[in-house]
Amino acid sequence: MAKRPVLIAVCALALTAGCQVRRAANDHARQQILYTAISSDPQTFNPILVTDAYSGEILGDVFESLIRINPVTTLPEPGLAEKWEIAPDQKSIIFHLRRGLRWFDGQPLTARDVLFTLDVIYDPKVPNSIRPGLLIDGKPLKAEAPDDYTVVMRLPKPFAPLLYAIGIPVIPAHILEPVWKAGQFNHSWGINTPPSRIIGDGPFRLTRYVQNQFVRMERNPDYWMSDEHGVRLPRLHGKVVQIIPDANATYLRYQYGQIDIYSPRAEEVLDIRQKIKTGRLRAKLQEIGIDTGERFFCFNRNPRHYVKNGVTDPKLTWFTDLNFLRAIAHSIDKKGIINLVYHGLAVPAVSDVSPANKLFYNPNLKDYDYDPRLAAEILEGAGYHMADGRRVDPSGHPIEFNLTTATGSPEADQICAIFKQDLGNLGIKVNYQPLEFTTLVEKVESTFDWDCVMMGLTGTIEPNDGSNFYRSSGNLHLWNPNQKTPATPWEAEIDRLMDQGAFEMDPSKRAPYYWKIQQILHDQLAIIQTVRRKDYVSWTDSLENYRPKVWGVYKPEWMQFKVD
Amino acid sequence: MTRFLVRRLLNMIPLIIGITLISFLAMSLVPGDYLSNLKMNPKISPEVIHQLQAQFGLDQPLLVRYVKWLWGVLHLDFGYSLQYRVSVTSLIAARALNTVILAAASMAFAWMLAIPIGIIVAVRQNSIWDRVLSFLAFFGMSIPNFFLAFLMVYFAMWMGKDWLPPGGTFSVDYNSLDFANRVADRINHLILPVFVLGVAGMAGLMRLMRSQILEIKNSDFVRTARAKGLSERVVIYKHVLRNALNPFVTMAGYSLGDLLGGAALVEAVMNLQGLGLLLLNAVRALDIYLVMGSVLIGTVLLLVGNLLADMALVAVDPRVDFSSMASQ
Amino acid sequence: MSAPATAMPHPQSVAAAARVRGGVAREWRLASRTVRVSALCLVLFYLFAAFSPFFAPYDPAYQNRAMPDCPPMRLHLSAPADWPHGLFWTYPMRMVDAEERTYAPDRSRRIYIHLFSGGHLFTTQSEDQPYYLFGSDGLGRDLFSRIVYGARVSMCVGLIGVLITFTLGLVVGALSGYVGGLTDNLIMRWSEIEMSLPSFYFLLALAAVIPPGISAAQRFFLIVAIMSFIGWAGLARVIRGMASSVRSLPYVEAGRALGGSRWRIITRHVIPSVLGYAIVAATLSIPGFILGESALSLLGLGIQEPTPSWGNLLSQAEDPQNLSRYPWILIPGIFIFLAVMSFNFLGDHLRDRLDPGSN
Repeated sequence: MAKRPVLIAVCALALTAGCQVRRAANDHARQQILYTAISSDPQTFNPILVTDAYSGEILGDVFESLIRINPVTTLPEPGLAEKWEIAPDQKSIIFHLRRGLRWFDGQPLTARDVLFTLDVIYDPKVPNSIRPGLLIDGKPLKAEAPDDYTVVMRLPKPFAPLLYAIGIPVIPAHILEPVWKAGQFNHSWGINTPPSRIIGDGPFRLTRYVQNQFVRMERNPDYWMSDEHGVRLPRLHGKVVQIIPDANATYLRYQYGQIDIYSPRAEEVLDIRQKIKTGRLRAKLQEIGIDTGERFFCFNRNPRHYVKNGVTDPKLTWFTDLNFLRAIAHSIDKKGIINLVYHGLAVPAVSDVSPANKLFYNPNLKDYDYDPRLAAEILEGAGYHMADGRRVDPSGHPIEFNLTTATGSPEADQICAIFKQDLGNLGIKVNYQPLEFTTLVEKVESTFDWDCVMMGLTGTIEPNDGSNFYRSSGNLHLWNPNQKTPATPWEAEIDRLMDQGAFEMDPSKRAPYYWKIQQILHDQLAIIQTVRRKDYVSWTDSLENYRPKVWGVYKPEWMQFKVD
Repeated sequence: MTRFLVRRLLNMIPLIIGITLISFLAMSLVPGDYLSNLKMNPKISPEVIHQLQAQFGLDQPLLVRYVKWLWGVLHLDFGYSLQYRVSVTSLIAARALNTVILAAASMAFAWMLAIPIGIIVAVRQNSIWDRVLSFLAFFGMSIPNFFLAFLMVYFAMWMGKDWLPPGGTFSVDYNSLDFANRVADRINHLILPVFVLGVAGMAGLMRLMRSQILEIKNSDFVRTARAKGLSERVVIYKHVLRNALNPFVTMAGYSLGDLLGGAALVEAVMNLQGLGLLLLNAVRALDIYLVMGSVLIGTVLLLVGNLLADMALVAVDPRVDFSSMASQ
Repeated sequence: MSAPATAMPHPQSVAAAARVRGGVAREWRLASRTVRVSALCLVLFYLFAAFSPFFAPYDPAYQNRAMPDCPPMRLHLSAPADWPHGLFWTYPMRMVDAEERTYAPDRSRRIYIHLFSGGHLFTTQSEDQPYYLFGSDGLGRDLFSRIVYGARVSMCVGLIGVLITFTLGLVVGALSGYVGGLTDNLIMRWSEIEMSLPSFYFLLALAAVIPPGISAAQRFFLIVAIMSFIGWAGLARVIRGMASSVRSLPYVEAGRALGGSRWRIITRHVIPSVLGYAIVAATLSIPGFILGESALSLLGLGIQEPTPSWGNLLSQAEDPQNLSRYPWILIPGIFIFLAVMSFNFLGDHLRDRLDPGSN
C-alpha cells in the first residue's frame, strides 16, 4: 500500500543526484590566458576616480604611467617616459616620452595627454586620490609641453617624492577632454561602460566585464615594450580576473586549477606545502618577503577625548606616560603571536617601516623584548602599584581601558586576546570590543571616542605617502589627529624631519631623516608594534617568468605558460 | 475577490512604508556612512570624502533622504549602490532570482520527501519506521542549518573536484557554456544548499503531515467511508490525504518568506550569490540604498507570498471564502 | 528564528493546564525515554551554566601558549595501586611540529587527573600540564572549560529571551484580544509590521549599532532584547485570538459582571487561560534564540571573545583549514544541536500532555 509514496520519494532523490556538465578541457594555459581572482567587483573603469583596490588592480594593466617603480630595487624606472632629467636647481623635471606610443584606438599618445591628465587631477570638482600626493606645500606643480614628446614639470620647491607620486595613469585627452569640459567627468567610464570603449595604453585591454563574475582582458598588440629578441610583449594572450568574494572559495578554486596564482594565509601555506610534497598539487610556493603592513596598538592621546568639563580623565596621564607605555611594549608576547596566530610565519615588527623597504628601513632599532617581570618593575617604579589584585595609578585609579579593532578578522581577535591576557597578568583590565570597520573609522577619525585600538596600515615605499600619518596635522595621525600646532616637541620634530626628507633631492641623503622618524616613534611609543607577516605566493607549475615581490610583480610582461 | 485583493494590496502600503522607515532609521543609527570605508586610506583626503558625500547626496538630512528615496521608488528608481556603483535594481534583480530559485528548490525538495514519508509513518503509526523516521525528523529540525552547511562544505571539499561543488552559484567558466550545460551547472551548485535548507523544512513538514493524517484518519467521515466498504487505499488517498493537505497550502506561502530570510546564513557559509549575502554585505558596508532596496524587495516577496497563500487556501478549502478572509 | 509554527490549540488545552500538576515524579514516569534523556541533557547544561567554575577544570581564558590546537587526550584508568595519585591518568602531549601543530603523546610520563580537587569536578596539578577532554583552541585554551562557561550564554539566551518575548506577547496579546476596538487594531497593525520585517537583516542592523564600551554581560542582554523585540509579535497574535474567544466565556463575563477591573480580569482570567499554550510555545521557541545567538556570533555580531558562547566557539569552524586540521572544534556544534533537540522533544512532549486531542 505504501509503495507509491516510496516511489515518489525515490524519484525526488534521483532528481537531486546531480547533472553532468560537459565542458571543454580546461586549457587556458595552452591559450596563454592567465586566470586570477579578486574579491570584489571593480567600482569604476576610470583610472583617475579609483578609490578602491580592485579597480586599481584591473586598471593597472590597462593604463600606463610616465614612470614605474621597480619592485626589486624599489627605484623609479622608465615607463611612458623613456628618460627624465632633473634640472640643477632641482625645481624642474623634464620627462621625455617614447616615440610611437598609441592608444588602443590608434591615436598617438603625446605630451598633450599628460597635461590633460594633470589638469583633471588638479580640478577641484574631480574627487580623486591622486591630487594630495601631487601637492607640494599645498601648491600644484606647473607642467608644460614644449613639443609632443617632452613634458616639463616646474615645482615650487624641490620635492623628492614626486618621482614616486608621478606614477599616475595617463588618460586620453582626445576622448575624455570633451567629457570633462561638459562637466561629466565624474560619471564617465563607470563600470557600465562597454569595455571596448575604455581606451588605454597598457599591456592589456578590457574586452568583457560580467558583474560579479569576471573581467576579461586581451593582449594589446601595440604595447611599446619588447623583449631582448625584439619580440613584442606581453607574452600572455589574455587575462581573466574572476570575482570571488569568499577567500575560502578562492583557495578551493586555486587547488582545482581554476586560478593560476594565489596568495595563501599562514594555514594555507602549510596546506600547500604539504600538498606539493605529496604530489597532490603541482605548484610552486615562495616566500616573497616581509609584508609591508603591520599590526600595532595605539593609545588615544587626544585631549579632546579626555578633558570634559575641565576634568581630565586619568587615562590621558597613563597614555602619555612613557613608563606606562614601555611596560605595555614589554608585555606584548610577539613570539606567542607569531606562533599562535601565524603558525610561525611572521617576524616581530620593530619599526613602523617594513624591512622590505630597503631604502628607508631603519635596522638599528632595538625591540622591546617580551618580559613581563621587567614590565611589572617599570610599572612599580613609576608608581603604578598593585591593590586588591588590580594595578592602580599613583593617584589610586584602577587601570582599565577599552580596546577595539575591526570585526571580521580572526587574527585580530587572537592578537587582542593575547594582549588582554598579558595585561591581565599585570593587573590591568582590558575591555575588548571589536567594531564594524565603518564604526571604528568614525570613532578614530571623527568622534575620537576610543582608548586603545589595534589596527594595521599598509606601507608604501615612499615615506612621504604616509604624511597623513606622520604629520601632527594629518587626519591619520591616529593618537592625536588634525593638530593645529604640534602638541609635543617630538611631534614637532617629526613634522620638521618630514619636510626635510621631502625637500632633499639626493636619495642617499633622504634615508637618515626617515630613520630618525622611526627612532622617535619607537622611543615615544606612539604606536606599539606587534608583528609582520611573511608573505607567500603560490602559482601553478606551468607558469613561467612569474617573479612576485612584496611591492609587486617584477617584469610581469614576461610571464607565460610553458606548453609542451 | 476583487474587493479582497484591493483591500489586501491597500493594507500593504502602510506596512511597506513602516518597514522601510524603520529600516532607514536603524541604518542611520550606525555612525558614519559608506564613505567611512575610505577614510583610513592615507591617499584619500577629507576634501575628497566631502566631495563624494555631496555627489552621493549623503550630506543631506535624514528625512529628506528618506523622502527622496521613497519618491524615487514610486518612479521605480531604487537608487544607486555606493559599493558597486550601479543601480540597485540591476544588482537585486540578479540576486533575487538566485534566491527565489534556491528557496523554491528547497521547498520542492522538502515537500517531495516530507509528504510521502509523512504518509508512510502515519499509516504505520508506532511501527519501527515511524519511530526511526520521527526521530530523524527531530534530528533534522534540531541541527542548525549553518552547522549542516559547514559539514557539507567540508564533505564536498574532502570528496574533491569531481563531486559536487562546495559553494558558489555557478562555475568559473559558466559564461562559456551552452544553455543545457549552464542549467546542469546551476543544478549542480544548487544540490548541497537545497539539501541543507531542505532538511529542516522537511522535518517540520513531515511531522505536520503525520499528525494531520492521524487526526483525520480517526474522524467521523473517514469512519463512514470505511463503513461503506471502500478499500483502505481509497480511504487514505481520496479522503484523508485531500483533507490533510489543506494547511500545507497556507504553509507554502509563509515558508517562502521564511526561506528568504533563513537562507542568509547558508548563503554566507556556502558563498551563494543571493539576496541574503548581498544585504549582509550592504549592511556592513553601510551601502544604504542597497540595503533599502533589498529590504523592500524582501518585504514585498514576503507579503505577496502570504497573499498567494491565502488565495490558494480559498481555492482548495471550500469552508474559506474571500469575504471571511477580508473581514479577518 | 522564525515564529513557532503553531496551530490554534484545542479549547481543552485551557483546562489541561491544570492537569499537569501531578508532580515531577508522575511526569517522569509518563515521559518516553527520549524525553527523559532530553530533560537530563538540559538539566546538565543548566548545571554547567550555574556551576561553571566547578565543572570546568581550568580557567576558560587561560592561554597555554605552548599547546595551541592540541587534540583531545585519551583517558586511562589507573591501576588500583595508583589510585592515591588519581583514578584516571593521561599521557602528556608533546608538540612534534610547531608549524603544523602536530602532537604526540609523551609515553614516558603520566598526568594524573584529580577528581573533586581544588573546587573542580576534575582537574590536573597545573594548567601547564593539562588534560584536554575536548582538545584546545588556537590560543591553547581548554575547549571543554570554554564549552562549560559558554553554556552560561547559550543556555540563558533562550530563557531570558523567552521571558521577555512572552511577557510582552502575553500581556499585549491578552490586552489586544480582550479590549478589542481601536487598541486591538493598532496593536495588530504594528505586529504585522514587525512580523513582515526581514527579521534577520533587521537583527543585523540593530546588532551593528550596539554601543561599544559596554560589558560582555550588558551586550549579551542587549542582543537578547533585540531578538525578543523581533519575536514577540507572532505570539501576541495567537494569544490575541485565544483571548478574544475567552472573552465571551461565562466565567469571564461573570467576573466582569461582578465589577472586576479590566486589568484584573486580564491578569486573573484571560492570561491564566492561555498560559498552557504559552508554555508550550515558549519551550518550542527557545531553540530559535539559541540558534539566533550562534548565527550572530558566526557573523561576528554576537558575544565577543574572549567570553565564550557555543556560537562563537563554533564560528572557528567557518574556516575549512581549521575544520580539516582540528576537527574537534565542531564539538560546540554538537552541544548546540543537543540543546536544541532537547528543547524540541520536551516542547513536543508538553504539547501532547497539555493537548491530548491533537495527537
